[in-house]
Amino acid sequence: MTSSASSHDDVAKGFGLPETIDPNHTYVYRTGEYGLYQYWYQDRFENYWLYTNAPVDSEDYDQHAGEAMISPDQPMPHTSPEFFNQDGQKRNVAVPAEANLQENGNYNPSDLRNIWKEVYQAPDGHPRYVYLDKDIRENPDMWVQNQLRVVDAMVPKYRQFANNLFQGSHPKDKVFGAILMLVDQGCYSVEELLHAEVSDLEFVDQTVVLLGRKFICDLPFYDFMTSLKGTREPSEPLFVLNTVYGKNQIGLNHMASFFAGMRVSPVFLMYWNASQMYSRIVHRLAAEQVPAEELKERAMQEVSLAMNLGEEADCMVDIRLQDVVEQNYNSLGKSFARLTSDPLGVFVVLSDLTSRKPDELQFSMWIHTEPMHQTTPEEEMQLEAELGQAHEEAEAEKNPEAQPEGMGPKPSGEGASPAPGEGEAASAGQEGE
Amino acid sequence: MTSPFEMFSAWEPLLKARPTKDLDQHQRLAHLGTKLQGKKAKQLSFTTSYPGQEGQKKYLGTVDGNQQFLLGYANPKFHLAPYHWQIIDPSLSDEEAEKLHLSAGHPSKPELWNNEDVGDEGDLEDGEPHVSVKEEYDARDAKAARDAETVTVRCGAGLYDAVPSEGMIYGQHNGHRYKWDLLRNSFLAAKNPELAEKMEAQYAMEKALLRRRGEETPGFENVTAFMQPLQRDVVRVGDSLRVVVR
Repeated sequence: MTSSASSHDDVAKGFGLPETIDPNHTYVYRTGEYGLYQYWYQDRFENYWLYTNAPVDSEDYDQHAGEAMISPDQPMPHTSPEFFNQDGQKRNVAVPAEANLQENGNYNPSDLRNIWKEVYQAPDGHPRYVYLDKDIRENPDMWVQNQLRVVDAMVPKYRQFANNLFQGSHPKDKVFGAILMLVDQGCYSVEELLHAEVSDLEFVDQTVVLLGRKFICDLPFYDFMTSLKGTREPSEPLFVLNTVYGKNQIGLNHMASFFAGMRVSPVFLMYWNASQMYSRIVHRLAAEQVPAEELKERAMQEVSLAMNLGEEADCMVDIRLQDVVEQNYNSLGKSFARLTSDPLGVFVVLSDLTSRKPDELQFSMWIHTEPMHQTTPEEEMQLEAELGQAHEEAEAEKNPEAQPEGMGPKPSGEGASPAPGEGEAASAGQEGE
Repeated sequence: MTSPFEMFSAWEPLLKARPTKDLDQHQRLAHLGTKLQGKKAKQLSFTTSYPGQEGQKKYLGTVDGNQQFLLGYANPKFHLAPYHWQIIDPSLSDEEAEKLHLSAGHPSKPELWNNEDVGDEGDLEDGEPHVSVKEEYDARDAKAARDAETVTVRCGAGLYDAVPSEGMIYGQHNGHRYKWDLLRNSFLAAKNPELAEKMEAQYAMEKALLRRRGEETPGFENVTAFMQPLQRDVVRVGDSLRVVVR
């Protein structure tokens, strides 16, 4: 016990962290699954802090996880001050040092219209909203949207990792790399794959049929898939590991540790893929001039068919995305030209994919510029105008001599701010242009 | 006490053929005596929409009652039981009445009915209304059952309705709906353990994830849990297969 406590102290000291639970931190809740949990504590500013265990007297306390210590792998005021505002409250994103932040005077955590805390104008001229981390956590609507952004940010690393594993020489790495690729690019659920049998894998020429769904893939991946079939018994698990006990099926806990390590939720990865696919389908429907009233039903039907989601397709497509494409449907057609030509409904699995595809990149750019709270295009335009004006005033203060005489800040609605209608087109167009 | 023959005018031929006797003294009709035991006249009455007589009460077993009922002018909310067919035609045996009840269905024609103010009639215990009304009732029952299982919680700035049997969470404030998959690791789930328990039970049944197994074997035992073989079922959903773990 003594040695355990002292090693814990050493680790904590090594990271310059409090050696026990901070007396100002109160345990609130636990997240995670399959034995891989995160324990969240709250301080007096209502900021959430990640710990390695719950307090001993809590029913969430894990006797195998050791004493609770604060996780070093999270933004701290001394390591990442850009995550904290002047009042010591944790933000949901880091704010650039040069950003001209404006506080929301009407901030109200109980009002989904005024739940944003700060805003600044990004170099592209559009506003970027900053929320408090605790508001994002405590509001499921915003939390789901935030998870989409988190997954989006992690996609390149995820793909690089999957690629590294797949390129590895060890068969075990190859199997895990392939599963990660199938979850991402083939939109399979982890459970489906881990419980698939050899008989669930078929080939039709160069098309792979796995669990009744087709996908096409590059040659290395195709070779790997054919090696899974070989002369094995049809009832054998498809993905197995060679262990000292013989060939064993891969378990969910094992696979879950990969996703937890990468901080990518497989469910939200599917959510991200469905949302991205919905966006792509909508752009194609716009090019086909499908009437706006038929848009949602047809697009959802396609997503549902492609991803085998049944009637739940709309739950897997980002709400904000659905609203925005409906509002701006008529201005979407122009961005269709740069979409990839993947055959819709048949996924393409590429073993050398290590970054986002072009249309995914556009989708990624779009979601990070979209607000997560409830707002209207009019409110957005007004705010953009105000931010534009504030930006010009700040610039004028910085360089007073650069400003010609008699030229003050432009009034709201002129200059940098978008004309009515432009804002809508821009917010929708970013996705595809 | 009124003789059934006075009430059921359509049975007149039987009355003419025999001297006046109680129902159970007619051999062929004895079974009806048992059937009608405890039944009341209102269980045989219906409201008609027959032109010129709209809204009037009619009785099965009477000449015009039988006629209007069979022509489809009866209230679709009349709960029809097999013995009603025997009231219409007393020569039917129990078996024949059952068969006719199944094959003929409810004679009411909803398109001839426009009196929504009239409620349920007939035998509410043993009978069933017209299929169109039954669908409406089923929907009403389903809604009542859904309301009963719905758990409403406040989380952050919104109110959310959780429906365990659907595996869905509905935002009251904005009408959005979320699959439980998305929210099972959220603050909402952690702060509402009762809701989470109900939703997880359904989730485990549908998706058969091993979360519970993981919780039962926390810590180091989880490290080897992945080695345990799993039982699986493959179910066909549309054209594709889904794996369900037992």
